[in-house]
Amino acid sequence: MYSITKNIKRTSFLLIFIGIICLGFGFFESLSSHVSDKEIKYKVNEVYKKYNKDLNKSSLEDSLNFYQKLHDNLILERDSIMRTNFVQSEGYTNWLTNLTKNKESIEIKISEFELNNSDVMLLIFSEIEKDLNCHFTSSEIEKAKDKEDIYVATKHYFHAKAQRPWSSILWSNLFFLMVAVAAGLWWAIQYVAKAGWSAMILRVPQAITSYIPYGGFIMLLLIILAGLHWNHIYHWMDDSLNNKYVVESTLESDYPVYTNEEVYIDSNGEELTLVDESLINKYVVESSLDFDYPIYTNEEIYIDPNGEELKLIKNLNYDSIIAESSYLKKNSDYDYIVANKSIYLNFPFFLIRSIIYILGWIWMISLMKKYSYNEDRLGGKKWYQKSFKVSVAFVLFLGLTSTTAAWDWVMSIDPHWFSTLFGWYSLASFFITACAFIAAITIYLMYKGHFQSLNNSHMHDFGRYLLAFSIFWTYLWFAQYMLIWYANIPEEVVYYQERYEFYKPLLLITLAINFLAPFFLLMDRSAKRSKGTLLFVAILIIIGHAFDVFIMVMPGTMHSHWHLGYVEIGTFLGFLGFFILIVFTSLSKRQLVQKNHPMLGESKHHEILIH
Amino acid sequence: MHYKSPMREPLILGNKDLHDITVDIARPIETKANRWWWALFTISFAAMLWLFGCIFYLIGTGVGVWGLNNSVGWAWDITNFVWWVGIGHAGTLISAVLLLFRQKWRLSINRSSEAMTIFAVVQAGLFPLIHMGRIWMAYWIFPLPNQFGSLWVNFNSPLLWDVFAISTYFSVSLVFWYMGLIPDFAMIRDRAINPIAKKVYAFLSFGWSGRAKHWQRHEVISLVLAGLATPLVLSVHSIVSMDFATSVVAGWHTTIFPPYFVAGAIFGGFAMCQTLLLIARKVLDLQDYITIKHMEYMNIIILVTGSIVGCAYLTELFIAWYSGVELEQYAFLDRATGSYWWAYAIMMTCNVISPQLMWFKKLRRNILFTFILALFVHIGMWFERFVIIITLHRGPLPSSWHDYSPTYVEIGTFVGTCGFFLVLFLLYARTFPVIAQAELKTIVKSSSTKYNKNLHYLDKEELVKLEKINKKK
Repeated sequence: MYSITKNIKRTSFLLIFIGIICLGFGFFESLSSHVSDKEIKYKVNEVYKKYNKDLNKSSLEDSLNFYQKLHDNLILERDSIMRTNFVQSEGYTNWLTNLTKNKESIEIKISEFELNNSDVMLLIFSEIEKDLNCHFTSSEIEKAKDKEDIYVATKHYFHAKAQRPWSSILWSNLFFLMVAVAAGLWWAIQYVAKAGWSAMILRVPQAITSYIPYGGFIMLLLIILAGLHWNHIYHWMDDSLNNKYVVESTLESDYPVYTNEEVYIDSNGEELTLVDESLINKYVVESSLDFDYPIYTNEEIYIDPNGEELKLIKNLNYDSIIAESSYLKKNSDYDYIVANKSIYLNFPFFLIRSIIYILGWIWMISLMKKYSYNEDRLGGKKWYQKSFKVSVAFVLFLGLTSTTAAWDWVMSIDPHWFSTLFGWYSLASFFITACAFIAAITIYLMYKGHFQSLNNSHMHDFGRYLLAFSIFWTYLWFAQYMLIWYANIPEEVVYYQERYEFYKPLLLITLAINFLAPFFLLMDRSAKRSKGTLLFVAILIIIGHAFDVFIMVMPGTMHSHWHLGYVEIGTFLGFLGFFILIVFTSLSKRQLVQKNHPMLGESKHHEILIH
Repeated sequence: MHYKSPMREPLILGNKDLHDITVDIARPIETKANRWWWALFTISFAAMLWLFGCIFYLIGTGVGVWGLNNSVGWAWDITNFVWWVGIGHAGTLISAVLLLFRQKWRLSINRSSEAMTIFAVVQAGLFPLIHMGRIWMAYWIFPLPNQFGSLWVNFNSPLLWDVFAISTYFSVSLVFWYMGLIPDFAMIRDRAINPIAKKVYAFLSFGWSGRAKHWQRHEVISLVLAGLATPLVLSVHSIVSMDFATSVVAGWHTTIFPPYFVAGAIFGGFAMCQTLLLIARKVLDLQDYITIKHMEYMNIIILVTGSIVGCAYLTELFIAWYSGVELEQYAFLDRATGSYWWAYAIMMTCNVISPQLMWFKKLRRNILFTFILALFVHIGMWFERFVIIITLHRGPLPSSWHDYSPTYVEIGTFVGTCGFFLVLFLLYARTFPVIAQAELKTIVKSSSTKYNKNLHYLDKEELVKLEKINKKK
């Protein structure tokens, strides 16, 4: 009989305390320095105007366009003349040569000008950095072309900042929750495969599964808060992405009303319809009148994206009755890729699925627990057979739900991206971590004088698990990475590009810890049979796969503005403390070795002879 | 000696002692073949001759004698190649992975399944060779310097990776198989009366004397080879899957392909094990060693891998929709409802639905049912590869849409490889010890009904019944 020691209690409470403090600071920081999207827009406009006054890029571009058009027309004209077998006119050719010369000189001017433009961008960015107290990555500055880019970059910084503590919670909780579930899988597999060697240590994975209800609760809480838009982990939950239209009068408010219907009935019972731009705008840009989509505006001054003021004339189609009523407008944020997924990715269905996974796991695991306790109390092979049946059911259920849960909770963080292998890949990651936790906790208990009948052969089997499943994880990692890298299709490769660009050191460290370390440290037979080496490798694997989950979660929520600072590490330590407390409390509830397990004899006499 | 839990069922029935095992396993080699063997051999041999006829015709005339066209540039050849390579996987899994998992039931079936692996890889290897067109240039697939007349190979091509993967796989499997055979050949040699047979088996057994040192080295090398063969179980079919998955063809390029192909290969391979062993145990009178329990274990693996494959099919379907990529969506719609919908329906029925019947213990332990289901799996797995490959008939360019049907040459080649495979297996069954008797003898004390009457949880009556059922069918 094991009982939780004061040391463990103290350590775990200390870790939980650290976690609460760090997370509290994280929330304080993200809330206190928050800048709203409107403020950002205002600031960016202001700074952009200030620096763009003396730039005349647009006039240069206009003249280039003019010459280009003329040039194209002339070529067309000349061709048509030639086609009708007229003698080639010299005048045309001369004219053309002159025009080409003009065009070249303008092009040179433009390229020189763009050099200046990037300097100006740098100035604009540094001013925004100073004024709003934020930070941009060099790639953001390099990629920015116009005001919209600056606005988006600034917005992303503040969104990431607000997101930071939430992402940390998701990372830590998802890690421990799924490890607990995978430990349940490990436990169930021992029954399904009728394994003999592990009969003595089954209480260890059993104790780890005790975390599922707690982790499941936090996960559900996180999802509900995401649905309430407290956090923004799941980007696809944003209404603005899923709806084609927006009610114009609410556009400037904090909660715009979006809809997919062309006719929307608002709270007053009024019917709102989508109206043509030409009916609701007082002015139109004169130079755009010949375009397929003329530019309309209600402002008296129109400044185009390059900062130049364009001439407006009165819009003759303007209908004041329609314009003053409430109407629907096209939603510029509409993302048809995300919207097409909304049959699957919508909040109610998402929540229902999550509840089914978590309740299903809890229910089956609790049955397995009950049978194992009954076996202790009553004995007989009946309980073993019952455990076998429920284990088969659990493996089957988890086989399906682990994939869908990975799609829901992890893959949908990057809502555009998809990979068929993702479910199995993440399961492999959590499974090897569960193996590491089981080995580490067992070895710790052995150091503390428990599990006296375990011998080197049991360690050997732990070592094999760690070695084999590290290789298996790497195999799946490589399969997914290599195929995406090889085919190089934009919609897939963007996932690894972001990770490679911003998370490169972490990505490489993860591979090194999770593959190279166990591969070389556990290759040797005697290493697998040594407790110390095993414990060391198990801890390495736990850290390595925490990073692996970090790379699954963070890039989709924090993008380039990620940290591995006190908030993330503190939160992780807090969850670790919580996890340790629950697992060891659960271990001390019953005796460590199941009494009447029919395979106990095999486990006690376990010996690996040559291999 | 290992302690055995009373929960374990016996693996050797029929009250056998060590000498009985020797006699039973040497019997097919020491006696003459019966009529059934000759009948089967004649049919297979005829099919094999047809195979070589087709190959000569093909090489003499050109690949045009197949039904290929510009859109479907490879069809039955690659289908058969993948099918045969896949079948080989069960042998490696049994001998390597199950060895590491300490599954003692593998001992009765590992020899034959490894033989199956080697013979299946031989069939598989034929197809890329004859598809080359100029088979006399076959050595160009190896990275030879340019002065040999070849061009330096393209290391970016998964087809080249295939060459390395398959040849490594073939050599490791062959060595592994042969290592296990040495002590058994020595046993045959020691019993041989015919002087020529004695000479041949003496040569084949490499002077094995049964000394402790020999045994120790034998066990170590078995372990090392098992370690080498385990990654091969995963790598070979992963690389075969990359022939498709590295492309940007909709329906082919999907990340789940490597593990899903491996699961499918194990699934198909175990079905072939069932087919061969169900016949072999009857014809060679080995029911006491390859028992219903062995059949059940293999059926469970078929059930598990069949379900994994089913999950992969559903994942592919779901992600094709989820991705929002129109080409991807169309590829799967066309598979399920297009002109080859029947192939898709056969694949789904045979690979996903029918193996689910294995959830019933009665069916799992029914020999006739197992035999029929294994045939279903062969058909299903063949069609799985065909369904994937025939995606080509509706490419992204509608003007290139082109249906495909095989000619008699392709059909003849495929049927012929089945004949060739059976010829090899039938010859093997009469000249090789079909069960690894030396290894099997290590579990006589712990898992046979003779020595371990009290350890299994069946009582005496149940045991008698079990023996009866086991013998009857």
